[in-house]
Amino acid sequence: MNTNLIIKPDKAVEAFYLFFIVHTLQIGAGLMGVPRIIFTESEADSWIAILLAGIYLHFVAWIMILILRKYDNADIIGIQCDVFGRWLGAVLGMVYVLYLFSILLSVIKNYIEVVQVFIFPEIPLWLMSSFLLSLMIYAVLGGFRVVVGTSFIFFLLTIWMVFTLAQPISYMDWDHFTPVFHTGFLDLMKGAYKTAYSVLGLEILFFVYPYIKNKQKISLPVHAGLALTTFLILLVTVVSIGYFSPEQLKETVWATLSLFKIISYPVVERFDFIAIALWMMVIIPNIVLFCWALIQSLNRLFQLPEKPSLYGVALLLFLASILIEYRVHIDKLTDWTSTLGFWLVFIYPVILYPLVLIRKRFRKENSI
Amino acid sequence: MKRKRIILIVLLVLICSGCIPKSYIEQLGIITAVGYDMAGEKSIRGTMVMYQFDPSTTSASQVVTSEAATSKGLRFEANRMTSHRLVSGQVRLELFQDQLAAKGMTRYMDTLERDAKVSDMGLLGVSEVPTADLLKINNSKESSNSGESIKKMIEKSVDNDVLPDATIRTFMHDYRDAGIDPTLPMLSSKEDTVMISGLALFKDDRYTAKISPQETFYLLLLKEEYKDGQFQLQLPDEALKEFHKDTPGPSEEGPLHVSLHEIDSGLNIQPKQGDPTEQDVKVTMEARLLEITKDVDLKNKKAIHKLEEEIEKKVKSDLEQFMNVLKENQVDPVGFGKAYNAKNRENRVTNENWRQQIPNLNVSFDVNLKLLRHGTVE
Repeated sequence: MNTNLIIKPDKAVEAFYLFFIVHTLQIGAGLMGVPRIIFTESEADSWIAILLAGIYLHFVAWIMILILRKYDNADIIGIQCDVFGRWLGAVLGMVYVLYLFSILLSVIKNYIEVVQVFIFPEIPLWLMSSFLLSLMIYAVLGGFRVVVGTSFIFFLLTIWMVFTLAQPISYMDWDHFTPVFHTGFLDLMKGAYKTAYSVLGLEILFFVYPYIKNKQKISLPVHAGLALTTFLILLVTVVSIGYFSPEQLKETVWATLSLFKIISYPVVERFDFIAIALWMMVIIPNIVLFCWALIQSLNRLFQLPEKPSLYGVALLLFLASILIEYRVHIDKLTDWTSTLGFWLVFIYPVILYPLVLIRKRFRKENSI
Repeated sequence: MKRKRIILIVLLVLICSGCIPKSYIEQLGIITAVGYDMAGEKSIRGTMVMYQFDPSTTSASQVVTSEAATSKGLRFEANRMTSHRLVSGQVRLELFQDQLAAKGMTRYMDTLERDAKVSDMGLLGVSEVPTADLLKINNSKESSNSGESIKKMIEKSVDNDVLPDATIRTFMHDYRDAGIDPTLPMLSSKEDTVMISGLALFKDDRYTAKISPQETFYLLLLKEEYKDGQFQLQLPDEALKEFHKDTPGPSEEGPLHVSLHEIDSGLNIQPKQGDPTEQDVKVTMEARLLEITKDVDLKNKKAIHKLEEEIEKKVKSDLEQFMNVLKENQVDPVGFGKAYNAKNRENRVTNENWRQQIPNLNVSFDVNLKLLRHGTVE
């Protein structure tokens, strides 16, 4: 397999779009429930945990960009085969494939769960899942530029929801934040670790890098996207901690969505219904980008043609999504995915970078 | 090929959207208010006020009563008595009979939280008379039904700083938070009109005592900051004797009442480090005098100062009395425990240990009043 990809200029996009790609992929199903997850670990000091996680996020992105810059036009699949050799590289590639599949499944399952709890308790699983999957297939069939387009459009269509949080903010109780630094360091670290599922998505950089036209300019949009993600997670968590009492927050599964429950306007009494419907627009770029990365990896690893593998993956997702019915199983899947994601996205690049350096040095000596 | 795909997708969307369950508004009975009463040892009686948009019926709202063991069971039972499908997405008011509230509210609150259809901004209330009676009172002059008018009455009172917030969200928040107890408006009926008779104090989730509207003022003074409150109080008869105007008139006799308006209050609760039962409370008020039952020479600066002093003294002693009520009932609707928690790392207050500490609570008040204006006459 070639380490580097050859991309036609009409398929590539400007580095500017990386902002939308990285940001929309990070914000997804995780944001709906993240306040509770962080709060259970870090209590009133959750905001510090998120800031810590945010700083680490920037660090990982920096490492990832360093790795990618060592090659001309490679993606993670190619880099792994180059560093670890053909067989081990393929095995590691399969880990990525497995991870992408399970995160796709967990995003779809979590969103359907929310729709069933909040809006349509009677809606059948297969219906919701075929809605989402048909949209996914439709977008991925359009190719990489359409995939990027969805993330761009849906970002603009949903980002305004941030401003509706003004109403819950007026109900905040600032006493919940004091005294500051009451939480132990270990709990802060646990809180930062638990933020992982919500900020997964950074790894897309490893897949889209070959498709970027002006590669020297990628740092700014990537870091800006990460900063916005950290800010949004910080915002919803801070508002939730102020809005709910501590015991209540520990029991509220979708704290962010529950915040929307008190928002009402003269025309729309219950904004939460609108918010959950709109959340589909937050989910779509997620599944579209992950699915594109999955198809891309399969194609690179096994030279599978894109169309049949896309239909195959969609069918597998469909079957898996209707077979998992219990809420506890969804939770288990989410936990498992976030653990795998944590190691793969936040730890692995840090290990990979020195290996890439060694490999490069080794190769240089050989060639001389 | 492309056209084929588009047709396929359109077809899929059309077919699939048919599978989503539909709700026709003519077939729905939209519950707007629910009242819960004790019906026996184990069961509760529910009264539901519902709207219907059926063009063939004349009355827009209907009241249904049923008995069951759970609140969702009530809805199920009530479904057997009406031709409409009852839905609870628009419930805006939930009333509980005092006896039922005294047994604990959590078992009814659980479903309100669990059911995402119920809005968190719905109002809660406790009733001294059976809620079925309250909701069946039909004063068509004011609103389309009694539930609607009670809801508007509570909303207005909360807006005008007469009652603390009574939404489900605030109740659940205060119930779960450590070091604070929730309160709800108390309703009663008098000659076929619903009225707010005071405030219900809760010990955890159980209703324990009722306080008068007068005491509610003091609670609000300690709980939040007034922006535009009003209040009447009685001072000792001879408190301002030296400043009475020379012309003796009928106003010389009788008690001295003053009425304060546009009260703008500030609050500072300062717990002692390490000891949640020792608290200093500083209340500052700015107000306008609109009514005084004696002819006092208000041109005299000293008279104003004396009046301020007298009111401060009165408010302080009333606050201390009010604290005794709270201590007797072992409740803390003000949130002294919470104020302590916000500032201390050690010896923190929890829902369990705070209850025993409330009777030992020792609060010293410092009241400061400024009478800025006194109307168009001096």
